[in-house]
Amino acid sequence: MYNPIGMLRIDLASSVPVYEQIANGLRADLVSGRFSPGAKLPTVRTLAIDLGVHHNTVAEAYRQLASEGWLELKRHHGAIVRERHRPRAGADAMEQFAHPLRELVARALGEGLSPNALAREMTKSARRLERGVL
Amino acid sequence: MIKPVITVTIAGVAILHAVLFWFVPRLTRHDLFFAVTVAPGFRDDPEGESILRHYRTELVLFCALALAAFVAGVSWLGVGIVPGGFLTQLVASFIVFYRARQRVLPHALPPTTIREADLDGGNRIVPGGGVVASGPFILLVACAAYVWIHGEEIPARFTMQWGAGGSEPHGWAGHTLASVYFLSTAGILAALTLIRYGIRHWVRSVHAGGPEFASELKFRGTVSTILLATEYSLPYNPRGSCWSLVVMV
Repeated sequence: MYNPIGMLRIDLASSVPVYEQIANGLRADLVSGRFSPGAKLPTVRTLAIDLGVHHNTVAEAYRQLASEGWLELKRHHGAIVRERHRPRAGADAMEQFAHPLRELVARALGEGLSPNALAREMTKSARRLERGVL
Repeated sequence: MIKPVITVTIAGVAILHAVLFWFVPRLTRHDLFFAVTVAPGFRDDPEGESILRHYRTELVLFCALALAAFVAGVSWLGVGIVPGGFLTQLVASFIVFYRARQRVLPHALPPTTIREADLDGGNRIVPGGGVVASGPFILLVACAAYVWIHGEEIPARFTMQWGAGGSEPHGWAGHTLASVYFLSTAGILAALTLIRYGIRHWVRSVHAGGPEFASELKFRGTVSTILLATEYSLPYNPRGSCWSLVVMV
């Protein structure tokens, strides 16, 4: 879960695994440019204590982001933000997101949101993240 | 016959204990009441005030009973019963606190599943860093080295504790590794250092971010600094310390 005020927020009752929530929240900050290349993220232990979760959960989130090219993990130095150039989206890139997006849209429509309102919100969020406005 | 100074000291400690426990329920965050997380205004509600009134009434009663038993015990068995008396009062106070807590528990707030963390992290550096933290240990090692060099000048048995008022000695130490080379002091220093580090790095914050988080980190820093000052004063504690031995040598 992402809290636009600038804090990382998770919900232990959510069906989304905690490590994924942490990774999603951090990724949003990284995409928006909140952390510049070279910046240090909180250590695994510090973030785990602050969130009240096991340190392996935070470590898994950091590993996921490292595999996507966002972070460099150095033992005893923590996680450092890498300079990452936006890759060119391939033909099948949208396919990767189409399925989870479809599920999210279905949930939103199921809760009564209109397609237009949903589309507006998604466009707004994408533009804000592009501009680095959280 | 019990000396007046001992009587006044005992009475003072007993009264201080009771006063502390009287105010303890109010000396916490507004959402904490007898170690239970409650709605912020609960302490001032009629229900909260009723629980506090019950607690204070029981506290006075239990402490009075404990003290009566304590005084009777001292009159009958002598000053040696003093630690037992304090222990009785302490146990009685905790029982009263526990009973109040049980009354508050039905009003506890359900735990939240939302967790937050400020990614900026805040300043968690232990005040003074490693250099300042090692000072008390260096002092201790310096004293130990000085005493070791002049080891033959230390008597086989020397006084380390005096009675109330500093009159007659009633505690001695021998020329052993522990008493001369301050191993217990070193242990206490190590424990305090770990506590200081733990306060800064191993404690989950109540507030995730914002000014409350900064305020919380500042408070933890203050506590850490006080503990550091305590560490620096330990080598100068006249009981079992290096200073008295260095002076003696």
